[in-house]
Amino acid sequence: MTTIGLPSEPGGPVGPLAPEGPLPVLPREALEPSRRASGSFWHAAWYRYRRNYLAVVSGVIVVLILLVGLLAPLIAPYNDASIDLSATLSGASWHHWLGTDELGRDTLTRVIWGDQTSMKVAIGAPIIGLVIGLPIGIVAGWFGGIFDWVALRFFELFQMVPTILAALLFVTVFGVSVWKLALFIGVTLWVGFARLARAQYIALRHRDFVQAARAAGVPTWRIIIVHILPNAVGPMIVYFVQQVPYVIFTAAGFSFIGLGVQDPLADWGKMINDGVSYLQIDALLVLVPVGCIGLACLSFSFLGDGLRDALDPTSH
Amino acid sequence: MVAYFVQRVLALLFTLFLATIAIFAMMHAVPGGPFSFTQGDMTPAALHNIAVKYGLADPVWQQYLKWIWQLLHGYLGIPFEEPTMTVNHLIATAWPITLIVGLLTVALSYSVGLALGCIAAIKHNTWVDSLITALVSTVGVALPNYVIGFLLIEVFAIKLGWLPVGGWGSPKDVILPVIAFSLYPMALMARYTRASTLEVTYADYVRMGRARGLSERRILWKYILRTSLIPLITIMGPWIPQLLTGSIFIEATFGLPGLGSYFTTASLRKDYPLIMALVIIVAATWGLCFILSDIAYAVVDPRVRIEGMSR
Repeated sequence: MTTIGLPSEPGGPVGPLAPEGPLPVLPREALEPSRRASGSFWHAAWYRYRRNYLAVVSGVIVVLILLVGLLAPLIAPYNDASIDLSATLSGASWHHWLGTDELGRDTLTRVIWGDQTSMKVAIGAPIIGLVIGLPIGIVAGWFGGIFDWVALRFFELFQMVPTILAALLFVTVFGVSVWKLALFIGVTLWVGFARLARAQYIALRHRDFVQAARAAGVPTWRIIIVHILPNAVGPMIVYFVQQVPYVIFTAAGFSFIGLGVQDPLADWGKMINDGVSYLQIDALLVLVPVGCIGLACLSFSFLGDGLRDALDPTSH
Repeated sequence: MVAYFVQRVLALLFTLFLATIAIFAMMHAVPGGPFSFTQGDMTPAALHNIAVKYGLADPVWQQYLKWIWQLLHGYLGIPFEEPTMTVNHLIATAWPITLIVGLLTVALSYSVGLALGCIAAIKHNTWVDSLITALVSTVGVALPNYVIGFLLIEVFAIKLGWLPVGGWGSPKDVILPVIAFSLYPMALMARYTRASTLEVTYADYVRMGRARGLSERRILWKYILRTSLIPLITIMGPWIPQLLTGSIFIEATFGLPGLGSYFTTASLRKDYPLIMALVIIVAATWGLCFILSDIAYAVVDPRVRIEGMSR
């Protein structure tokens, strides 16, 4: 366990592409046993993650984004709904660092509150996908047979429908609120989670530790949940984080075209929608939310890549 | 081969049929019809009159049968929002716009992506490779296309004033949407091309070719690229329908009056005939492209045989 996947180790996962020639020089840390990750899988993962600066920086940004969302009521400089018709479209100033919109609402305040709204959906939707997909994937992967066959047909059916289209239809039919938006996007994510869980359970169900648990008379539900699930958690976390940028993109997109959150709530997409008519007067109204979406997508995406390399070193 | 194709198309038609039932039922199951927004102030009697005029007062199954009967005759109904036109007419004006943008996007993203991927693979482990890989994973894959779209608008339309902010009319209007729309598929293409080319670059038969003294050019074009491009068909095939049916977000960003923009307005106003028509078109395009890409895969790669398909 201690040597798992140090990237430059000979005989380790160097990938199929390594050309002949001198072996890569091992970094010093890799050779000193004392500095190696010791003990558990999570130690080793943390060790690998820490060395990936891009992932560490993105992780910090992600934490900041989440904190700003949580603490929005405390750090927002103005009341988010306060309309000030004496200061409309003011542009950046000392009073309004990022300017104001056409109703005199402070852009910085709206962006901070928008962070909260966007993150509710960004985290909520994958949770819903996970909650639906995980049990289905487990049943398909563990029991196999007819369960697996039915699940696979469902996967195929659902993958024929473009996900954005499906979410759009739900929004059309059932209307929209923040949580509905999370629900509709989340529902379209379940297939991915189910596929992943199924693959994990198929790979793990014949392993020795499962056989041993069976032989020892552990009940099936306990094997599924206590013995196998922890082994499948790594890829699940990675997949979860990788879905977040997609959700941010979709949710903000819906709000941007007017099918997402409605006034007085704001998310970043809604701010684009509001600001787009004033693009030529004050580009900040659009560029600020656009920048937030871009930054959030990039950092969640790099966080996901970093977690993948750390938690699942052989997959890449 | 023909039998296989027919079988797949029949399966697709059946799926579409089920999908139309599901969507039709879903749309009529919820309160709030298409006219409860625009004509909200009317008396119930007047609303009922409108409902009768558009056949909304009939039982749902009758409406569905009528709709599918019309569909089989190629008639998609009248959009509630613009009763002077037919849905067919709306789509006939909107889809070409989406198609132009989509086809240009396919051409740009696939050719540039392919080139970038090959260059990165040939220059493996040099700064060129690192630069391409870094650009691909940031600008291409991680940034939403409308975010890129707005950045392009800000720089090239507002600050520099070279290109229009949006709209549709002059050939210049195409440039920014196509670039913004291309970046993601281009990045995917570059990433996959690089990976699959690298995989082949160090394969034994390529080394064998070198040992036999073949020219580098011959090795690259005949040995490496020919093999490495095969997987791209399955990977990039499913992207084609997505590009052909357009992106609602790109069309909203640049104010293009294409399919996506009608999707948005139709959804906002619960314009059932228009939504149904759009869903059918998009789903059929998707399904058909999937089938074609499966077949193309089997044709190009002699190692692949599809179950139930004989050539």
